[in-house]
Amino acid sequence: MAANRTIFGENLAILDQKVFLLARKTMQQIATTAEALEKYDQDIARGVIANDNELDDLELEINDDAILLIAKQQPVATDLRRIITAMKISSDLERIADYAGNISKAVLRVETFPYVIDISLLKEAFETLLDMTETAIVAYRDGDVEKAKALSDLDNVIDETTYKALRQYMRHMSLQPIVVDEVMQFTNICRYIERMGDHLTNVGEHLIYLEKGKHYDLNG
Amino acid sequence: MMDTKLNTKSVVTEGAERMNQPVVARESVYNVKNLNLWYGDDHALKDVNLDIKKNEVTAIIGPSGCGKSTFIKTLNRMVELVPIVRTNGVIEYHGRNIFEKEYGVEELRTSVGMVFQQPNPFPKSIYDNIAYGPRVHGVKNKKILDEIVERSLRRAAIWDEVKDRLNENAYGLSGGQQQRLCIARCLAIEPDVILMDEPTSALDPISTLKVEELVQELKSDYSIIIVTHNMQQAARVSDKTAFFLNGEVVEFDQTDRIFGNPTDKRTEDYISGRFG
Repeated sequence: MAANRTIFGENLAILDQKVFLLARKTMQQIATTAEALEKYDQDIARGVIANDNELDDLELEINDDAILLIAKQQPVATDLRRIITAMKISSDLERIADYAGNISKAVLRVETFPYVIDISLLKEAFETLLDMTETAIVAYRDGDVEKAKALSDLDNVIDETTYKALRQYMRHMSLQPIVVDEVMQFTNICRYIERMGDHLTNVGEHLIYLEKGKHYDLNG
Repeated sequence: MMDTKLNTKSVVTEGAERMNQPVVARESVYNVKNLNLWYGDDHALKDVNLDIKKNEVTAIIGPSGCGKSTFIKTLNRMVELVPIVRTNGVIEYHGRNIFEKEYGVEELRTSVGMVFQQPNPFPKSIYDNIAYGPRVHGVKNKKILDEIVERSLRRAAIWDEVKDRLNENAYGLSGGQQQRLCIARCLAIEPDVILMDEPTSALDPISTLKVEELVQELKSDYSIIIVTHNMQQAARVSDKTAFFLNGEVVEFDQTDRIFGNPTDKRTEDYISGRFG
C-alpha cells in the first residue's frame, strides 16, 4: 500500500534533528565547562554562560514545533510518543545545560588557582557524564533500549564519584576552615554534576517509553 | 544494582484507566465466534471473533473494503438481503445464536436499531418519523405517542430545535438534524443496541460533534457499535476499538491501548495514517 503522510514524516524527522542538535550542543557545553574548570579559564567559563541562551531558544523551538505537530497532525501511538518524548528530553537537556552554566559560574567565583583542593574526582565524573551523554544520543538515534538502560549504571558511577569527592571536600573544610568559601564552590559543582546525571537518566527513561510505550524507573 | 524491572503500575497507566472506564466486568451483548462470510467466492469476513460488551461504545475501523460495514450488517442480519451471501460461525446476541432457524429477524431488529451513513428520514412530518415505529408496534394512544416523540427527540438532542415544527416535513431539516432525527427514530422503539454505519461521514464538523456527544450520552442506556472512517472519531467516542483489515480482525482492545500503544504494526500504520 502507498505510504502516506510524507510531510508529517519529514516534520517528525526535523523535530528529531533538533533534539539531536540540542543534545550535541549540551554535550559541548559540558565538555567546555569541564575545560574551564580544569584550566581555571574564566574566558571559557564566560563563553559557556553566554551560550546558554542559544540552548534555551532551541528548547523553546522544539516545544513550539511539537505543539504545532500535535495540533495540526493529530498524531497517535508511536508518533505521539515521539513528539511528547522530544519535548521531555529537550526539557532535561536544557536543565543539564543550565547546570553546565552554573558550574562555569562557580569557576568564576573561585579566586585561587591552583585550586585549594584536588579536582581529579570531578574530572573523572565529567568523563562519565560525557560518556553518558554520548550513550543517550546513540540510544536516541538507534532506538536502542539496552543503551538507554545502561545510562542507569553510568549514573551510579557518577553518584559514587561525586559522593567520594564531597566527602573529600568536607574533610578539607573541617581541617582548613579558612578555605570554606572556596571549597563550597566545588561542593556545588559536585551537586550539579550529580543532578546532570539524574537528568540524563531521565532521558533514558523517556527513550524507553518512546520505544516500548511503558514507563521504566531507572532512578529507582 | 538498582531495580530495573518494568514499572507496570505507574501513575500514568492508572490515570489512563481512570480517563477511560472503570474496570468492571460487563455483560456481553454480542459474542461473535469464528464468523466467516462470503459474497459468492469473495471471502469478506475471516474467522472474526469479538466480544462486544453492554453499555460500551465499540468502534470498528479499517480501510475501505476491509469488511467493517459487512460485519456491522451481520449483527442485525441485514447482510442477508444480499442474495449471494453465505455465512458460517456463530453470533450470539445475549447468549442466543442469531443464525438459528427459529430466530425471528423482526425480533432481532426491534432490539437492534441502525443508523446509516446518509440520513434517511421518511418523507413525512418530524412527528410521524418518530411515531412510525411505535405505531407499527401497536401504540395508538396519542398521549403515549406524544410522550415517546418528545422523549426520543430530547434523548437525541434535537428537541429544542424542532419542538415548534413537529408537523413540518423532515426533509426541511439540515443534514445534521436529519441524522439526529434518525437516531431519535431509532430510540423510539427502545432498542438495546444501536448500530451506526459511518453516521457522521455526510455531516459538517459541528453536526459531527453533536452526534459524537450524543453517542457518549446514549451509551449509559444502550450498547453502541459504530463503523467509522474517521480514526480520531473512534479515538474520541469509543471504549473499545476493533481494527479490520482484509476481512480479519487484526486487533481488538481498549481504545486507549489501540491509539496509545497498539500491539500490531499494521494497526499502528493504519491509525497513524501510514496507509489506508
